[in-house]
Amino acid sequence: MKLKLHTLNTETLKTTLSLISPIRKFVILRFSPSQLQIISVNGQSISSEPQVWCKLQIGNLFDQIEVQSLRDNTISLEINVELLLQTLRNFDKANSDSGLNIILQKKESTGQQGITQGNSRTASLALYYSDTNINTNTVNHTFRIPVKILKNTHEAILLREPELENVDLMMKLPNEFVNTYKRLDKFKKSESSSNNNSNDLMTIRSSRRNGGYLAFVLQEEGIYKVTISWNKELVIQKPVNSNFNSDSMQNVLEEYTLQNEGHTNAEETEVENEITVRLKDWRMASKIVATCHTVIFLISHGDSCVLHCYLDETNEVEIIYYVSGVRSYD
Amino acid sequence: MLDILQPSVGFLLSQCRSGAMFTFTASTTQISHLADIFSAISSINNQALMIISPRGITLYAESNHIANASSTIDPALFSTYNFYSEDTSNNTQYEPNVKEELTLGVDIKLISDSFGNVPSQSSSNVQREGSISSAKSNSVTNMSNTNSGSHTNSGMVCYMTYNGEGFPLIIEFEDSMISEKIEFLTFYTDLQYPYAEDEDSETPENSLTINHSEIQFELILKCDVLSTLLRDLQRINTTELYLYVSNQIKTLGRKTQFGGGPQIVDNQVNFISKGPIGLSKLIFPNEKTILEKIEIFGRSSSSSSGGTNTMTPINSSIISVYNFNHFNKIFRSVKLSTKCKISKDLGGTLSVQLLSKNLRLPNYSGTLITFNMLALTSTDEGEHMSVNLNNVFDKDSYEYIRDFGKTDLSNAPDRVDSSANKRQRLNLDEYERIDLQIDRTRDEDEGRESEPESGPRGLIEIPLFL
Repeated sequence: MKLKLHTLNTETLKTTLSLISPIRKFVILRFSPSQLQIISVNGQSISSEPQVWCKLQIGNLFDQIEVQSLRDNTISLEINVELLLQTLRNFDKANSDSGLNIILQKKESTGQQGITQGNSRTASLALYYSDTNINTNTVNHTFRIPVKILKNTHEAILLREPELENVDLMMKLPNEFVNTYKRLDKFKKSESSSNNNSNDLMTIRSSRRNGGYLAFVLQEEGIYKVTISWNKELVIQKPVNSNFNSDSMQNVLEEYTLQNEGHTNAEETEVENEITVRLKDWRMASKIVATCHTVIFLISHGDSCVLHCYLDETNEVEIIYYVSGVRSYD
Repeated sequence: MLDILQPSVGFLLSQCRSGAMFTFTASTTQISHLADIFSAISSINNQALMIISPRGITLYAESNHIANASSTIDPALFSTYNFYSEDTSNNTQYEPNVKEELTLGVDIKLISDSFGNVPSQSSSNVQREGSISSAKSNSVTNMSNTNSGSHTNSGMVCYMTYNGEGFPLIIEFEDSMISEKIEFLTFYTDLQYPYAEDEDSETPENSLTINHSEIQFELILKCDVLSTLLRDLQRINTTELYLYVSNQIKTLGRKTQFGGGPQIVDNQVNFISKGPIGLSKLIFPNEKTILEKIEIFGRSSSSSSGGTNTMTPINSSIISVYNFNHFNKIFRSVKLSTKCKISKDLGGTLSVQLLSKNLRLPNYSGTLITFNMLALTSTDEGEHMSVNLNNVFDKDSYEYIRDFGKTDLSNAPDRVDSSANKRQRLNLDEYERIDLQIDRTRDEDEGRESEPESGPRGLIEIPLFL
């Protein structure tokens, strides 16, 4: 197993990490020769929401890439995202010409690179760079962040990217859509009086009516009911395939501007899809929605919803935010 | 088909007539002004009575029968204001016996929160229609939201809808991007609005309103100074607030047996705080622009008015005591307001009326918020003490001791009773000193120089050192 990377610019990586760092303390980095996936799931119970999958072209992030492993040349590490982010920020502040090196090290190794015993599950990710200070002295910085190497067998069970069985509706959310999160925040505050506000539920309703309808319904029994709905037009996209996975997303995007869903029959227009999620699960996406260039909302009635985002125009960084609906038992 | 429907329609109409079914819709862009009023009322109680009528929306909240707040929002604040009933749709004439109002209980705190957190709307001038179309069925709420101003950022509009008993109060905030519709559940409340005009007889005996025939004093103050003062009182953790109001006539210069100098009306409004750090006196500036009016009334003893006890303006001083926690509930409203009228009646009810201006709507006269609260009942002893409280920090009190003996005590003006006691005690003290003359320093001796027997002073002192 060997992981060795070098880069001069960490901007993209940093932005992506900062978007998902508030969600959980640990993320999984999955390196392969072509792709870096940053996955935020709960290690203990995989079903806890939300799940975020970020996919980055590793070739665009690093200029030297060596990823070797016995398992399809894929290395998966669990790492404290805040520590990693802080190190990247330190590198940014430093005046470094030589760039940032990242290698996977066996723990307590004294500079021996990239050698990790097969059965060892604790290792560290070493990030090192040199900094030229004002007196043209060179200072070498090395940060070692402890990581846990995930075996493929382990991750094969737990780490599977969720798929939507049936996409009922797909719509592109405009950039100003982030305002709805501010409105939702207001009700988080006033609801803090109730005991278990972390379990406050919210219903998302959407339909094709009037050029796209998307609303959030919050209710406190016997006190009030809030409906926050989007007034501007939402561009509705007819799902290409009935089931969703991120590969098909790329095609959708390419056709996006061309294939504006034409005239649909009235019956289809009136169909309202809804899903009930925990308010906090939805709210955590606010930073992602605020930052990403393209945000597409997908809903599978009663099952789950997805925010499929692209960080910038290049569509090279893909962030997929999954929230499964709360099953009601009544 | 029609025959079958007919009876049910008739039944419905009769239902309406007895139940007086009204529907109310309104819209406005003056969201921050409404937010201010709602938050002012909610400082008294989370739950409030809301009365919607063609004359406006009245809010009333009460706290433990010792304080209440009310405010009526004028329909002019709204772009559209529709109040119509189903049963008067046919005959447009006004029926005086039909009480045209909707009464509902609301959680004013929640409503206030929802208003307060709305992003600041544009300051664009919205053409007001000010149309009050009562008794008109099926009127369409047509908005004339003309954003003609330079600020063209999405103007937020607030819609209010209430369909009568059992329905939620619907408040909707809408701009070009988002609409936020909040359905507040309403409830029956047994709060009674004390200013109800229609039922002249039904005003409850114990209602907390000021008795206009027994006004003791009336002040008009400027609110920015008052709010600073209240904040200071709050910072020193005031528990009890003594409000001293005086317009006594003061004689300038030293009083002689031929009378004093020119006489002036000495207007004073002092806020005396009692709290953990003791007493502090905050003097409200006596400036015509800040303290606009001060009037004190007393029962006229003259028989000219036919023996009835009418209140006539007098020159006097009055001190009253309030629980500061209750008093300070006006703070939020004072901050919003420009002018404040404080009046108190003989029964111990203090009324604070605050006029909050709405700068965004220049033609709007402003909204009046009225607070009423009970003064703390003070025993005779308490009253005695409180009168002196105002003089605690007076220079007179100190000067008196320093200047002791210089002036004729019996002529001293404005001396208060307790200082009279003190004076007597000091006099005794003085006699003892004269008798003993033991540990008097020279400085203190000088303080007694006015003693006519100052001559033999040295003679008495000598034996002490012998």
